[in-house]
Amino acid sequence: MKTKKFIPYIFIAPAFSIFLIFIIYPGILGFIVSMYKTSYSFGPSTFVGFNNYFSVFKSPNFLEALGRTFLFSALEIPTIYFISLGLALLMTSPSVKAKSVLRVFFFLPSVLSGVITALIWDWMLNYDFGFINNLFTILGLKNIPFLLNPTYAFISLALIMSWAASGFFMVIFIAGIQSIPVELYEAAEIDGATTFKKFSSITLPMLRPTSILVVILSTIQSMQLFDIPFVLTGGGPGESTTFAVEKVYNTAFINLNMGLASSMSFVLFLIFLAIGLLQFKISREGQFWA
Amino acid sequence: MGMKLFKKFFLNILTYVLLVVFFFPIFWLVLSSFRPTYDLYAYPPKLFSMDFTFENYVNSWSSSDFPLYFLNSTIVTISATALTVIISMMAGFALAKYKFFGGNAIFWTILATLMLPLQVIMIPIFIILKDFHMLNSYLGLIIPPAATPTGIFIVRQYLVSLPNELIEFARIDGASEWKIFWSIILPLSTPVIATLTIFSVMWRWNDFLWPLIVISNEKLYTVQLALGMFSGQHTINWSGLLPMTVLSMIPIVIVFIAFQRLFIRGIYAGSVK
Repeated sequence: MKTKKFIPYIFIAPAFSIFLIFIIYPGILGFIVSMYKTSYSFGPSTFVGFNNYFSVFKSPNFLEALGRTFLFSALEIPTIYFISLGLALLMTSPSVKAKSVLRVFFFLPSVLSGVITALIWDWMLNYDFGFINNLFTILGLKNIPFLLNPTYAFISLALIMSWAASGFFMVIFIAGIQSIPVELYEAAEIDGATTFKKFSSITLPMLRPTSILVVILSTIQSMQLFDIPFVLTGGGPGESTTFAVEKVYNTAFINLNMGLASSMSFVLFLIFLAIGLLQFKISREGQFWA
Repeated sequence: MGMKLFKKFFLNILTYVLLVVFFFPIFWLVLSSFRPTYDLYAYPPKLFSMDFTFENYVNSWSSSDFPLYFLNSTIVTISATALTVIISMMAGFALAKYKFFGGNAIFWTILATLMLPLQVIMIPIFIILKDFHMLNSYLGLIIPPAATPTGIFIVRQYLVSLPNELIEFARIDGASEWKIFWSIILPLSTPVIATLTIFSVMWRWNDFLWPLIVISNEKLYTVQLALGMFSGQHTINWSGLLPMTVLSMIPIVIVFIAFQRLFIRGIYAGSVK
């Protein structure tokens, strides 16, 4: 067998070379680019050291987008958490019939692309032709500028994201609920526990690991958010829905400032690193969802 | 008893209200795609007219480049998925069934790339693809996203559980390592291959950011990129856009409905362990 030592390397080579060329090397290159004053052509560029990073932290632009992203997460994550937990409880309740069919419908939005999700809701919330505003007109109510007013657009997006993601997290919660030993509930019933008591002293504590997983996954998801706001609001009105990734995209591909955008990316990377380490610390197996 | 009945009633009502919230927007999109243009833009609004037509579908399919975009998406999805499955199987096999110098380091390096999502490395990726002349090409859309840490991880986890004796016996029988992979490991891996295939099809078909960075030539647009770009225009042509949006979600909805068990199992395999 000694002569075959090279074999595992051959098996791993195709995947690993793609990782090296298209993920690891870009990671390093990104850091190098962030030290240069570069434009689109990536031709002659000047080394500026950490100047781009000073610009990132001096100009309010990126920090505002980052702050907006955190605020958005703070709004969206609890919403997703409660909706998906609620759905999972309904979908495991003995009182509800036809659960296996209903689950499919709740999960359906999770398999649609961000672009389709954006278009579905553009068509629902459109000021002139959207279903909701048309219904309001018919009922004699005033139209609501869901996507045209900064605050409304921000809240609409958080709700749309919850609509798009809750089915996925429902599935994770269902798995968590189903892994709770039935004996715990049986014992509680003998002691005369109410439904609420069973929920608060058995279900909720037993779901702690699942809850942590859901919070971490939805945090990553909302930090990476790009396509839905990009298509639905274009980051607007104004900059009210321009989140961190879109700011990086605009700086690199619209303003053509690759160096500055790369240093923004590195700041984002540090945030992902922090989330990743936290996740690794909490559960060794963690999630692997690309 | 009355309390129990009330609870049952309340939970069912709540479920169906949520069902409407989750499903109605999709239903409305599909319904609207069949409504004539004058009804879509009618004022006062005509939400409940029973006028239906295939005109929007026929017009936008025959008078736009959408057939081409569907072809592009199909080519990219199928080739990238085939590539993902084969290289993830190979790498997962090596990581699960061989002890070799650097194996652990490679495994952790692959997992660590989860912290470098495309959102973080899109600028250097753009620069590299430009240097490789892979911008505006199928190769640029297919090869880089084909290696996914998730794919390698779920394959490795699956193969670790296969008994090593299978491989030992085959070796004693004189089978080559490649033959072991090809005629023992692959046939036994149907469940994990199916899961990976379904997820890869969904990822590649639904991708937006990746084609947005790689493609600027309209002839190479994927469906998602085309929909995203055309909906960003100042005045949206809804009667053209709605039917194409519906058509673009059909493949994914069919795959999902047909393989929902695999979908759910994949989520557990990838996220809850």
